[in-house]
Amino acid sequence: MVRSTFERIESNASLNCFTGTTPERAFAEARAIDARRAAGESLPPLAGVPYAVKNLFDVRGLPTLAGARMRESAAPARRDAALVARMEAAGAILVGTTNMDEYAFGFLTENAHYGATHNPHDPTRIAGGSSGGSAAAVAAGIVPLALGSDTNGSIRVPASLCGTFGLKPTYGRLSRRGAFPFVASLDHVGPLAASLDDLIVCFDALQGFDCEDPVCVDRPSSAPHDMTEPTPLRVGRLIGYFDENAGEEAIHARDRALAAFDDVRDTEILGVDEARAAAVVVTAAEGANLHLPELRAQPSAFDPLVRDRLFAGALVPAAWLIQAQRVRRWFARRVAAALESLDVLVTAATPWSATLLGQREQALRGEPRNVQRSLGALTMPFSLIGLPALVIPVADGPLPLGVQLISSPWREDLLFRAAAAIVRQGVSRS
Amino acid sequence: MTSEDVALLARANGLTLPPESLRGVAADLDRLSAMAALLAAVSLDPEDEPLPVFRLG
Repeated sequence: MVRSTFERIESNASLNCFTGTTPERAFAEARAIDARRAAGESLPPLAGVPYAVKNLFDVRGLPTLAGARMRESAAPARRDAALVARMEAAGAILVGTTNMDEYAFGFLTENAHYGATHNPHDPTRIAGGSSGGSAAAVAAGIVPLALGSDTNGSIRVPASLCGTFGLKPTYGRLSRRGAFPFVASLDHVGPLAASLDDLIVCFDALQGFDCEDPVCVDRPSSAPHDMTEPTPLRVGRLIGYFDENAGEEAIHARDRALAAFDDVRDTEILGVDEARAAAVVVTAAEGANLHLPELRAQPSAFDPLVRDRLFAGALVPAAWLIQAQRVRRWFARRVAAALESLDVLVTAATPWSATLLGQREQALRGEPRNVQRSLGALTMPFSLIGLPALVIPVADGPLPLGVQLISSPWREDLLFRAAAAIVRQGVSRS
Repeated sequence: MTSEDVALLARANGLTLPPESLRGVAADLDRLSAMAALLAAVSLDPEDEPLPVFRLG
């Protein structure tokens, strides 16, 4: 199993999913599982399952790159990130670390230092970002599971463009200890998977309170049992802003997914433009503050795609940031009101399917849009307020495209139920 | 915002921008300024406290 995984990594090297591999560790973990099996022990839920991690997760013995060349000289991690430790406890086998946008600030995974990750469905196209290497590794069939991070959509965007399942759990659900930060008040971590079943099993293995992450919340785990049992769900089809920022293909994918439900209600939430603006301001200011020492000391070491945006963020006035943080509360109340009478909200995950590598503009409703700035238009409003969101691959064209399901805080179970209904309908690509 | 404005603002904040960054940073600040204007127009209640790092109850 492990050997064949490394053969797949090698045969798919041109996709540039991986920035590092961990064969010694993988074979050691596999031998440990084999020994437990030989001893007749009961095996943990992910026993022998190979997986990869975005290279911002600490892996003991390796420097944590976070997509930045300047971090190659960083001290090796002394212990695993919390989620890597939980994957190991669940029996999963780490095979390598994956490519990403520098410091997770992007939706393209066209990294100036480590190269672009190519979309397995069409290598001339982007994988999306910033967890692009993780999504492409799953989509190419190299690994069935990978870990990513999602600040504004960095799990959901590449999941959509590569045709995988992806979950951004509720803010505070999964421990971020040992995951290199980007924007502390927006950072989430979560899994990407080749199937819904894999996603659910992996999420369950990752759950649990961790006092070492200051925002991790001590509350009961979301029970994995019966998550896919058929259940009547009240579903909101997000219109207005979400129609205006999605192309025809994306809207078609959303409506194909909605055919799985009987109770679908058109739902317009006002203030989404403002929510997205708040996400942009908070991201710029918090992200820049984190990297201020490097911006002062070695600006030329940054990826040019990232550096200028960080510099701009470093110059944001406090009044803008405080207003943006207050708008988060304002928007959270609006969405909570909509979710009082609905179980799940549904929208496309990205405005369009994967664009060409190097392409900077894409037409949407006849108007040119900046690809980098637009790819998160449908995901950013929900990470701003910490809601759980799941992407399921739906589109039936030559390129994949995901649909995003959103629910109330801590109700990942509703996302799994809704996704299972869509899978049962037979419209998911998985 | 002009490149000169950006250079001045950066210096006031203790930053020295590489010359090749000035135009890009100016464009990004213009975009952020437009976002801030959108946010400034939101009518907030006193209960809308800032959420710098929050826990969901």
